[in-house]
Amino acid sequence: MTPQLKVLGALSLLELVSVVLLLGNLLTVHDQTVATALGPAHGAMYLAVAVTALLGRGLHTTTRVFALIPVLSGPLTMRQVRREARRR
Amino acid sequence: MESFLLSVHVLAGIVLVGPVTVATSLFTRYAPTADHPAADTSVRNVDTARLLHRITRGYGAMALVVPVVGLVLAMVQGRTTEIWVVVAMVLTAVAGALLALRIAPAQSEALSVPDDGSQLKRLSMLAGIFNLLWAVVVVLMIVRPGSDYS
Repeated sequence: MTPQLKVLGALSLLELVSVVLLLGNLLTVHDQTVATALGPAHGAMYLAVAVTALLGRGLHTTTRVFALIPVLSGPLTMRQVRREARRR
Repeated sequence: MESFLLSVHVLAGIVLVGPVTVATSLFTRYAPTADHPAADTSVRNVDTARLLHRITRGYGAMALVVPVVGLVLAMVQGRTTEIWVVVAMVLTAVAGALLALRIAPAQSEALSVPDDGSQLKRLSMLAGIFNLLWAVVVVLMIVRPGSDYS
């Protein structure tokens, strides 16, 4: 696995964690402070995954498109990273 | 707290991002080309190009402090939903990815396998886009369009 794919995999995992925490908070206690802190953090993770997939070298088009889908880009990119690693 | 974060944010922006913008621009001037003899160091100099590549990578990695502290500052100030902050975040993400995923690897390739200069032209364009993105971000930070207090 290339360093680029490792970074993309780690970022997408962090994005998935942040979106799960965010949605979990929304469905349970809905604490405003938690939402205020996690929202921008998740936004930053989403952006990081999106630009890494868009500007990364030699990535499949599916990987680039999937990384742009809000909420689902975390798990989809994690799957794509495994596929990209197998393809090489 | 806000003053401290803002000071770190601005200082890191000047000290860490500044050298990267200069290094990426100058790299193409000093990087070797295949038709230029390596012995002639008057115009193109591999050692200088290597140093510029090191600055690009090292300072570029440390410059991650700037957006991280900036985001924390925006959270503390409750400004994360303001349009100028969001636009600046997107532009910064694009600039960072451009540096890490395109410019730095292309510099490393240009150092190891010099060609007729066409890869340096492309690199020069990327460096220009990178610097333009930072200029736009800095203007956004000053003008703050969409805020009611600038």
